[in-house]
Amino acid sequence: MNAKAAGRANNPAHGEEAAATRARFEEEALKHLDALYRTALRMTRNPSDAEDLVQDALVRGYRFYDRFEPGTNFRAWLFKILTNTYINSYRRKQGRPQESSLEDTEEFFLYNQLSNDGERVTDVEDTVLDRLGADSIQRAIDQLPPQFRTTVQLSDVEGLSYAEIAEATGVAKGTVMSRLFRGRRQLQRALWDQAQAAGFTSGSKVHLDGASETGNGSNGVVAKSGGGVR
Amino acid sequence: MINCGDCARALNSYLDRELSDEDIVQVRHHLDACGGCLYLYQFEESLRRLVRVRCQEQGAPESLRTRITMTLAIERRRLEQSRPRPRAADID
Repeated sequence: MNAKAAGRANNPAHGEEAAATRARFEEEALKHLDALYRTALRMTRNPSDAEDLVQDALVRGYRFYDRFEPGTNFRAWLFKILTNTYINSYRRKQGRPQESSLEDTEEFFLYNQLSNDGERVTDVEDTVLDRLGADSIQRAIDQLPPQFRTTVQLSDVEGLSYAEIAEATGVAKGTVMSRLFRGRRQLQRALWDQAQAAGFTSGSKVHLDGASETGNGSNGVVAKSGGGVR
Repeated sequence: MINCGDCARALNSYLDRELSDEDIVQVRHHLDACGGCLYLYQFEESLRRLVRVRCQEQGAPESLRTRITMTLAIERRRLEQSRPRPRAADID
């Protein structure tokens, strides 16, 4: 116990106050549970580890809630604890990350792939990409190197700002921007690979021919299966 | 007035709502005037939406929510018991 916490523990008035504060932590933290779990799943790529990671992170957050400065960003603070817990406890046992084969993808790769022959595409829903279900898209994100993966997840799925991601991942805002820049280019390539692996892009015919109903139907089934990621 | 290259470079930050007000105006003006860049913008925006919406379909399992509530309750008791209690000391 540090000196500050010891001082508080000796203050009888602090007990009830601390209990009320911690009750507030639980209420506020659980609002972000889905986002924390999704991000943990991208970090660990394993549902069971992801659950353990979120639980460990929230227990840590609960313990150290008195170090959270009211008025600052609670969501970014929670994600920071998640990131730190992952680095300290989980990353080690996962070994070296796989080398990514996604380097050197051009920017706007998908738009260029889908817009050939002078025909411009303005909505992914009119393309084969619309047939990618949640599982395929998550697999594509999982192809990214770890630091890009978390940054892209926090930005493009969870909607955190550059400043929030910088806080959550412990890097400068400029680093967040360069990770997003490279990570998104790699994600576009990975999404394309997923579409190809599913047989959606064989041959040159990459646009849907009014088949979006079929596409949506199968996506719905994939999405509902939820939990399983691999 | 920015050109297509400037617009393409600014596009992701524009979609992220991370541009200055001044730069937002510049990008908007360009998109109003340039069909090619507008198509690209619309495509990239729809791609962002696809990724976000599909991935957000997945939430935490209900069992995790329950487990965390229980774990925090245990942690609360642990923290309360580890704190010196003057009254209990008097009785002892």
